[in-house]
Order: sequence, then C-alpha cells, then structure tokens
Amino acid sequence: MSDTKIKQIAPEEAAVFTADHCLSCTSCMSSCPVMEATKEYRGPKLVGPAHSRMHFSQEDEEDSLDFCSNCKSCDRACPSGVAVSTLNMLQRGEYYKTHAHSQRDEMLAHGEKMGKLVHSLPLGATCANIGMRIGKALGIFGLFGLAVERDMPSYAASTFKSLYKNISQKKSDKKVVFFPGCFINDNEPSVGEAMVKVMQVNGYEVLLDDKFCCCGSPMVVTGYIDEAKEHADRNVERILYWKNQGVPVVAACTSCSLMLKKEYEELFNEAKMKQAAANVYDLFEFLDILADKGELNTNFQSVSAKLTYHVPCHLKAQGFGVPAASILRDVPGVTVELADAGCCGMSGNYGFKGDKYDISMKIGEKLFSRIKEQAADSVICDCGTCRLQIRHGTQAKACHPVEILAKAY
Amino acid sequence: MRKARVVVIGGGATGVGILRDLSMRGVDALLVEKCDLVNGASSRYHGLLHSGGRYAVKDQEAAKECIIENQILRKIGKSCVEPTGGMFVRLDIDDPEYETAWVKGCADSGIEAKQISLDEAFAMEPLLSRHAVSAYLVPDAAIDGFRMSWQNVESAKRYGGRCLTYREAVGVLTENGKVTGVTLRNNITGDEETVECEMLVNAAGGWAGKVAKLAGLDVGVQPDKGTLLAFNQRLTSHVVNRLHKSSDGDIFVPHGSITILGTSSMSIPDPEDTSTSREEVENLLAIGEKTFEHLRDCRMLRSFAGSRPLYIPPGGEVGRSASRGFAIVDHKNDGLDGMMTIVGGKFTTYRLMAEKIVDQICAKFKVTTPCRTAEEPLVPEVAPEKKQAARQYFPAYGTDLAATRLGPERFDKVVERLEKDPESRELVCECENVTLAEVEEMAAEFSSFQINDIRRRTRIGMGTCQGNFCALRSAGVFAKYGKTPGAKDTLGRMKEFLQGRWKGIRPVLVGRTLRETEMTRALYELSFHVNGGEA
Amino acid sequence: MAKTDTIVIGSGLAGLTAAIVSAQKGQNVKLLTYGSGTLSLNSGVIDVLGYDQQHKYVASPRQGIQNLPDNHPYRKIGLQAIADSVSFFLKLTEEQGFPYGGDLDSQLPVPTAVGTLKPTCLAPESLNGSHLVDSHKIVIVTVKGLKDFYGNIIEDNLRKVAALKDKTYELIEFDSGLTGGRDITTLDVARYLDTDAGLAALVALLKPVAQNGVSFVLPQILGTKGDTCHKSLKAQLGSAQVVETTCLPPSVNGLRLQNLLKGAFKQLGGEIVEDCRVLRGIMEGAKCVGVVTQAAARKKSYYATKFILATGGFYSGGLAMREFEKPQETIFGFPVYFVPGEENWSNAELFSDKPQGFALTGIMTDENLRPVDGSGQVVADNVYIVGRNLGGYDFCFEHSGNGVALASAYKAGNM
Repeated sequence: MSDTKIKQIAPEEAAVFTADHCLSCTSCMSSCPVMEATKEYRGPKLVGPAHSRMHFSQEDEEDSLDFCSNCKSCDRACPSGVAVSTLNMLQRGEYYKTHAHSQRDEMLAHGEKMGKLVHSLPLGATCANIGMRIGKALGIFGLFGLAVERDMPSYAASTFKSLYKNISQKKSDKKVVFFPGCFINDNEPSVGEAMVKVMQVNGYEVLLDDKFCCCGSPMVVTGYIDEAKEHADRNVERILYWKNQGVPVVAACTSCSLMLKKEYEELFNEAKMKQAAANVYDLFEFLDILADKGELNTNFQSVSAKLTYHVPCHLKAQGFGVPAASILRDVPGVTVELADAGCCGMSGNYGFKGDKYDISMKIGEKLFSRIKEQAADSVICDCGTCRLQIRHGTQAKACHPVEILAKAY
Repeated sequence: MRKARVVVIGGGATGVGILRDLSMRGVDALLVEKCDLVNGASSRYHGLLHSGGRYAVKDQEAAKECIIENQILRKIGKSCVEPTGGMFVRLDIDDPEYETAWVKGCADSGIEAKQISLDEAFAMEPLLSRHAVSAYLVPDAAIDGFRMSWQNVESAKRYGGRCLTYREAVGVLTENGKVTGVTLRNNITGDEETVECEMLVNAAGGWAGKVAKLAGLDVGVQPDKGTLLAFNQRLTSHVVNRLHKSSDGDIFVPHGSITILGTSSMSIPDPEDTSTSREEVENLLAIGEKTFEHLRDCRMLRSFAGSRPLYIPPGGEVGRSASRGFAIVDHKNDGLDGMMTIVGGKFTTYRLMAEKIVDQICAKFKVTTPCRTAEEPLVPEVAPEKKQAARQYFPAYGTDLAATRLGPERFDKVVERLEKDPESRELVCECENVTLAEVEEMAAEFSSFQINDIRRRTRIGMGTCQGNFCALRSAGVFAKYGKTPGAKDTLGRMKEFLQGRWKGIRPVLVGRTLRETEMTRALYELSFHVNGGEA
Repeated sequence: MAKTDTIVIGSGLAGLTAAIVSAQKGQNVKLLTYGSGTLSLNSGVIDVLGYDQQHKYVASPRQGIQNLPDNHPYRKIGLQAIADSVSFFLKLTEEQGFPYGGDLDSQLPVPTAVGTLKPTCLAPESLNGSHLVDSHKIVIVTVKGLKDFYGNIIEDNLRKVAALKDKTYELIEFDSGLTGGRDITTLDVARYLDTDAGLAALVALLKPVAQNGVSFVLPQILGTKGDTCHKSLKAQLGSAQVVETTCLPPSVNGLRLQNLLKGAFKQLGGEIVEDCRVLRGIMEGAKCVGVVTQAAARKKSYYATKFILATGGFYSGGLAMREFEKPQETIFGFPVYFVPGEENWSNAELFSDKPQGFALTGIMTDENLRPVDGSGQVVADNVYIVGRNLGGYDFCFEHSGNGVALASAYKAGNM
C-alpha cells in the first residue's frame, strides 16, 4: 500500500505550459461545437496544444485557427487541464502582431468605443439604431464583413451608467461594485437595474466605478491581445483597489466575469491577476454564496413564469454549477427547465462575422429546436450575446435570470 | 555475385561518412548494416553538435576538432543541423574554478564563448533555475542523426555508392592472408550471400570487436552505454550545458519538437543492450532538475540508450574519462591484409574520422583524388520558392520540416502526391505533422522493412501520443504500399511498432507517461484486441 | 448550507451509472466532473470478463468471475450484484430506447478496426459480430478520407479467424462527400448519417450489394443517436446484416452511451456540475461530510451524506504517481495498492500473456466498496469506490473495464 502521509501535488502552472499535459486523446474534438458545424476547423487539440510543439520550425500560421470561437467547450472536456482555447487565443494574438486587422474586427473588438461615441451624442442611440438599420438595408454590413442576416444589437436610449445615477439606493455597510460590461451598459441596462434591485433587497448597496473599462474579451477573440492586456491592467488595478476596501466586484455578464476571474490569469500569467480574480464574482455565484450562508432574502413573491434556461458556455467554464436555476426554482410560480443543448453558437462576437454566421446558426440549431420544443414563457440566460442569438434564432423572449428574480421581490 | 572494391560494415555515422568519402573519391564502395541505419550510438545519443565546449577543459584536442567539424557540418548539412546555439550555465553549487579553467580552455581551443548576463540568460531560457550564477553562449547546435546518415548515403549514391540495410556480416573470406570477400545474412529473410571485395572496413562502432572476431582478430572496444530522456516539449531554445565537471544528466538539447536530456556513462558487456533502468532515469532527473527545477513536472516521452564504442588500447582507461578520440587499426599489422577497423570518436567528428581512414585506403589504392566531403553539401537544399508554393498542401509549421526530412527529390514527389490527391494531405501523425503522402512515399522505399524504419525517416510516432493514433494508420498504409514481405502482416507490424515505443516508455512509466500508457493499452489491447485469441 | 443526499465524482461509465442508480432510489444527486469522462474514448460495449489471469478465454463471464483471485474487485462486489447490474443495464438501455443485448453466461464477438473479434458481454445490436459467422459474404465498407479505418487490415485479420476464413470478402468505399476540409473522423461521418441525406447516400451504396447472407462491416459511423440509424439502415437493406467495429477515438458508440446515461440522469432530476475539480474531502474522523472543489478564482464546497468516487485511473487522473513507488489517490489521499519493485511494475512486452503490474494499482475496498488500508480497516465510512480507481485488476488484460465500472457503480449506488 502507498504511503498516504505525503501528498505530492504538482505545482500550479501557467496556462501556456499546460500544452505539455495534452495526451492527444480527442476528448476536446468530440465536444467542439465548431468542428461539428464545419470541416474548416481542424479541431482544438490540433491547433493550440499541437502547434505549441511545432512553432520552432518556421514562421507560419494555422488558417483554421480563425474558426475557434473561444467558447471553451474544449477546456471543459479536457481531462488533463489543458487551457486549449487560451492557447488558441494566444496564438491568434501572436498572428495579429504581424498581420493587419480587418475593419470589421476593429469594429467588433471595440464595441465599448462605439457605445461611448453613440451615447455621447444627443439622440445618439436613436440615430445609431436607425443608422444601423439603414446600413443593414444598404448592404454596408456585408461590405464590412459583418453578418448581413443579423441586426446589430440596438443601443438603449440611456446607458446603465446614466440610469444608475437616478436610482435611489438604501445606503448600506455591505457594498459591491458592479462591473456592468459593455453590453449591459450600452444595450440592455435593464439587467443592471434588476441587479441593483436584487442587491438592495439583499441589503447591499451597489457602487459603480467609472474607471473600469471593457473586460477585453472582444479584443482577445479578435486578436488584439496587447490592447486586451492594457484593459486587463487597468481593470485589475481597480479590482485590487476595491479588494483593499473590502468591496467585492460583481459582474452580471458571464463572459466578463470569466475574463476577470480566469482568462486574465491564463492569458497574461501575472500574480496580480490571480489576486484580483479572488475579488470578482459572477452575480448568481455571489447570490449562491449568500444562499449558502443563509443570507439570501427568500421572501419571494409569486411570479408566474415557465422558463427555459440556456446556461452559457462561459458560465459552465467557471465551475460553480448553475445556481440561478436552483435560486429561481425557489420562487413560487417559477419553473426552470435546462435547455441542455450545448453552445448557442454566438460566442461573443463570433456570430456577427459574416463568414461565421452560418456556422454560428448551425451550432445554435440544437438549442433553437429545444427552445421551440419547451415553448417556455421566456428563455433565461446570463450572457448578453447568447440572448441575442436566442432571439435571432427563435424569436423567443430572452432575458437575464436576474430580471426574473427582481420580479420576485 | 555482388562485388565492391570496399565493403564498409556498419551504418552508423562513421560508416556512412566513409561510404560517402570513398564514393566521392571514385572508389567503388558498398555499405552493409545489420539493422536500419544509425541503429547504434549515432541515433541513440542526444543529437548534439558539439562546439567543443564540453571538452574545453579535459581534452583540448577533441575540443579543437569539434569546433572545426561543427562549422563544417553547419555548412554541408544545413537540413540536419538546427543552429540553436548553446549555453553553458554554472549553478551556485558548481566550482567557480572550473569556470575559470573552462573560459581559458575555450579560448585556447578556438571556441567563442561569450558571457551573458543572468537576465539575458533567463530571458532566453525562462525555465532555467534561478540558482544559475553565470552563463556563456557557445556555438553548439542540434543535429539529427537519422537524417544526417541517410543524407550521407544519398550523397554517396550520386557518386555510385551503395547501401544495404538489414544485412549482417557473418563471415570474412580470406585467401593467403588477404581479404577476398564477406558473407552477409539478410536479417529479414535469413538468406545469405557473398560479396567479393578487396577491402573490408570495420566501422561497426560498439560491435567492432564482434566484427573483428569474424576475421579472427582482436580489437579492444568497450561499449559504454549512455542513457537519455526525451521530453514532450522544447524546454529550452538553446543547447543548455551545466558548466561543471561533466556528469550524467547535464546537457539539454532542444531537438525538433522535443528535448533530450543526457547522458549517463556505463560500461556494459554487450552493445546490443540498450535497456534503461529506473535508476538511470532517476539519476538523470536528479542531475537535470538542478538546471531545470520543474523537470519532474514535464512529460517524459521515453528513455533510450546507445553504446559509445570506446577504444581501449591495451592498459587504457574505461568510462567517462576514457578517450573520446578515435583510432584506425590497419590489420595488415595483425597479418590480415585488406581489413581496417575504425573505432572510437564522436558523432560531431564523424566526417573527419571518415576522411582520415579514407586517406589511408586511397593511399593503398593509389587514388589521389582529394577529400571534398567538407566542401560539398550532403544534399541540395529544397528551393525556397518550392517550399513556398507547397505550403498550401502541408499542415501549418509542416513544410520546412518536411523539406529538410525529404530533400529535394523526394520533396518533389511528395508534393506531387499532395497536389494530385487531396486525401494524401491527411495527417497520419498529428503530433509530428506528418502527411499521408510522406508516409506513403517512405513506405514504398527500398529501405522500409518495418514501420519503425518509416518512423525514423518521418518522425511518425515520436511525438506526444507515442504511436497511439498513428500505429493503426501507418500499419494500414504500410500494408498497402510496403514492398517488403512482412508489410502485409498488419497486426505483427503494428505490435512491433508499439513494442518499439514501449521499450522506451517502460523505464519512465511514471507521472504523465503512465496516463498515456493507460490509454494506449485501452485502445489496442482492449478495444482492438490485438492480442487476438478466441471470441 | 445546502446538502445533497449523494455526490458522485466523475462522469465516465462508473460515475454516470452510480448517479443514475442513486437517483432512481429517489435521492437528490449531484455529479461533479472535471473533463468529459472517458466514454468518448470507450467503445461503449460492456466487457465483463474476457480472459482469465492466465489469459485463457472465458466463455462464460459468470463462471470466470468465480475463479478470480480474492483481491479482485469482482470478488468484493459479488456475483449477485454483478448479475443484477447486468439486468439493470439491459433494462435501462431498453427503457431509454437504445437496447443492448447479451447476458452474463456468454460472449458476443465484436469486430474491431484491426479485424480481430473482441469478446464482450453486452453490446448494442450494431456491434454484434455474431452475424458474421452466419453470413457467406462479408462486405467491408471503408469511408473515403477516413484515416482511422483500413479495409485491407480488417480483411487480412478476419480471414485469420477460423470461422471466417472461408467467407467471400469484398471491399467497397463510401464517399460521404465530407472530404476537402480537415481530416474527418468517425464522428463526422456518424453525424452526417444522422441526416436523411446521409442515410440515403449509404443505402444507395449498400442496397445493390445487400443480398441474403451478406454482412456489412463498417466503422462506427451509424449515427450518434442510439440505434436509430442502424435500425433504419437495416430496414432498408432487407435481410443483410450491418455490423460496426470498434474504432480509434472519438468513439461514436461511447458517445451514444454517454448521451443515454446523461439523459437518464437528467430525467431523474440529477444535476451535473462541469469543470469542477474536486481538490479534497472534508472529513470528520472516518466520515466524509463534504468536498472542496476548485471553481474559477475560488474554492467551493459541496456537502452530502454519501460520496461515490468514480474518478478513474491514471488516464483520468483519479490515480497519479509523480514519483516511482508513490502512487496516490488524488482527492482523499486514500491508501493505494500497488506492486512494488521495478521488475514487477511492468512487463518487457507491452502485449503479453501476463497482466501488467502497474495496471493493478488502485484502491482496495471492503465488500461494501469502501476504501481500506493495508490491514483491511475501512478508512472512510461513507465513501464508495467505483470503476478504474479500484485496485487489483488489469482491465485491459482481462477485458473487464466496463464490467467492473458497471457492477461497482450499481452496487455503490445501492448501498
């Protein structure tokens, strides 16, 4: 029998070194939604992990790398802890250090800038939304390489940040800082309003920090890796500031929270990123922890809602389960059924790319038909771009689970 | 009956170097090898093209030879040499006086050793132990023994040289104290044949003593086993040497996609003994982890061993301190005319060794053509525009490697296959990026008797999965294209191939290697039931 | 603090089965998994016992089990539980619409991608190779561009099987139209055959050859949805038989079984937590009250009354050995049985007539599958060990991997 006194634990390693753990077993290939939808993508293990051994040989690029959507299904499938998609994103970043970006990618990576511009003009959102409709009608989207079949997400009349100023909150010693992310701020501020309401009912005061910037996820997936690093540095500095104040940071978009909690560290491998990550929570993760401590306000009013829950890939990759389902199931009148149909295909800005639209929709087919089968009152999903895809693919209503929870208080 | 003026016995670096040199000087020569080429020490070593730094203190003659030959091989063997550069690193536990002696030794031997700051060293080699106290750059490089040897043969062929693999010398024919021929056994079919010749060159390395015995001669060769470890990734970008008195696990060579750590030194009775033990593996790791502290968390692919043929003149020393120099013995002095033995030396100086013995043979034959092996490249390079044009057919990062493996003629043939038949662009080996076209081309070669022969030429099965996926695929391709009798025994070939991998895996069956092995067995023993039997 | 009845760790065959059995008893079950489990690499047929310790063929697994050494997991599980687990599995697959066949008293021959016949106890109809013996002609169907399937290898080796040597053989190629992009896998072709167009294309190729007495041998490509594709194909090919082989991963049949098991578990209200690496157990004496997991950026604990450890062996990471002679169970640090000594750790031959020493590494248990130390003392009262992390058997050598997984999971689920 073995000696059980000494437990040998391999030291934690930077994501780039995890390529060495790949056993080439194909688990990632079985679970990759992009491979299922197209024969153009060679598959996760054959890109990041396999190439990590071959880069020495010559200057070259993997054409099919462009097809990886960074949905992270491969990371979840891997039995060996290989950060497959992160290796792919690092390789993509490397590629764009010597290659020019398209105008489309410039646009998709910088939604934050566009949002700021639009909302700085009087009637900017209205004009921009009209402009986008005209742009789509005139075929300008297509010229840019955007998916002509899709509407660009329309801008809300007011950003969350401006709406926030008008919310009167009960002061509290218990505070969180909200990291709204671009999509909630510019396009769906109602999610932010619901979040504030829910936190207030639970005794928390919600702060905003103007110094936060876009988490960088859209940049990483389009290969603006250096710019993403600048964003990471800025955000990490603020997160650490709040950490020192004893105030946690909460995000309600799972791609933002995954970026802050996990991807910064995987991509850039700095100690401060790990320290900062410990102070960041996904919204329902935070509520789940309250629930675990018996501190969640469960004084729910009845809400009549039959819900289908599409759990975003980037939430699954955070490894805390699906607490929104169990929390909402405690609300009288609410039923929650998991769609359990894999990736929606949108994966951030992937589905907006003209040449990826068909792949994106093909990936989403399973989810779309499941949603139609379940015929719920609404689909809930913690990720903004997944919600866009669900509306686009099914015409169903889709909202953030916190919007349902807010109705219960 | 086959005839040749000179028969060279032994397809290691020395043998192929002699074949090439003889052929280039117009001497009709045949090389015979009992297995595939470079089955001995010429591939079972760390693949280091010495700058001479390793010998700068102990043996400056060897050091000087190394640096000269190093520069020649970089020039003539561009597609086998990867000019990684080398780094010598002294750790805090190492003797500073040795460093002083080494710096002087390098200067005296003509080896450029440039001191760099530790910051520079860590930037170049991020995994290097922070116990490093000083670092120097030297012109070490990595060299591929398989490729170099085949390219020598190919070069020789252009001058009429011939080569037969899987032919073992089993008898020496003499008449009146003079060699008249050699009996060969075909190790695949078991058939024997006689080759008539005027001169026999015993270049059998560790087996030189055994070959000499065929002619009733005695040659003092001590096989000295060196054990090495192959790691799954490039842990370094330079050849990294510990700057201390040479010991076992103190050289890391980035060799293509992998890293080789070596080398131990152990006298053994039988050169065929290429087994390695757990203890040897542990020793290498224990020394290696001084230079790279994370070593034990890096995936080991396998261990392997080769035996250096150390020449032991009567009363000479054995082991690491024995001479790495070489000796040429003309057996005329032992009463047998027409037989010479060359023994000892090191891979880096194989060309020089060949030149020296061929000088003597030519003197006997009154051939005055000078040696040109240092001037003419082994194989012409594949033209850059051809590589560029072929990129569309190869996997990413695969074109240059294929071009260096194949050389221009085969490269053209493979590209033609890839062009005509898009299916041949499939990767048989996904770890080392080897296309079906390349495997098909090699399977059809005269020298491919086993999948292992294809492996050595293409690198299939030498990467991460150690044959888990390509064993089935290569057996399928070999059965279709192989021209040798055994090619159709698919199960046999597949098991033989995996057994070859197993031999190296077994001593390192720990850590992540265990994980891969559990998968190998689940696939082949359980799912494929290769053991057969009733069902 | 939320608490579940049972927590299962691991989502291979053992983990999913244990989770289903537990949930069927009305328990609230959470399954924690890191990685997708081994079913995507697994042929998905249930080998109970193919060979004994001397590598003699076992014609009846039921008989063979009774001759196993005392420290074999099957001896701890007991014949009754093994037989019950087989019945359970047959019933479950039937209910889920993807029925398996076979029984504990005989073996089914499953053709492999190298043309051998592998004995197994339970298999779906599409992998049942006994039809080959009854046919007069065997038509091997290769797929254009599929690099993991070689008709010539299969024919050569099937011809070496006594009962198949006098058959007529023919090789035909199916062009799936999937070539031109990346290299394709059996999974790609199977997904294509899930579509009506794909199935029609295959029928068009096979129908002209499909006479009475013909068996088709194909790679594992007949759809990803249970036996749907196999059934429709057979219905359109008259009396000809259609048999799939085991293949290199991704293994389509393993994925079919995985879908079945996950589906069954979810129907029972089970919850699967993905990307959830369990770091350690929270012990109160010999009782486990919870486990600590690593989620993104922080640890999270789960609490339960009962725990089933289905983390697999070396491949899956349930067992690890960073240094020679120091194997470990990676979560609880339970004592691990292993064969000491370099010479006993492995055989000189990779494939031979002896079990491999290293393969015997694993956790020893009492008859209730709870881990024991060297003296046989139970070290955790409410943790049950199932699947490959059990010690004392070489699942590859014996052809017993899925059988041990199924039977141990069934027993542990019922404890």
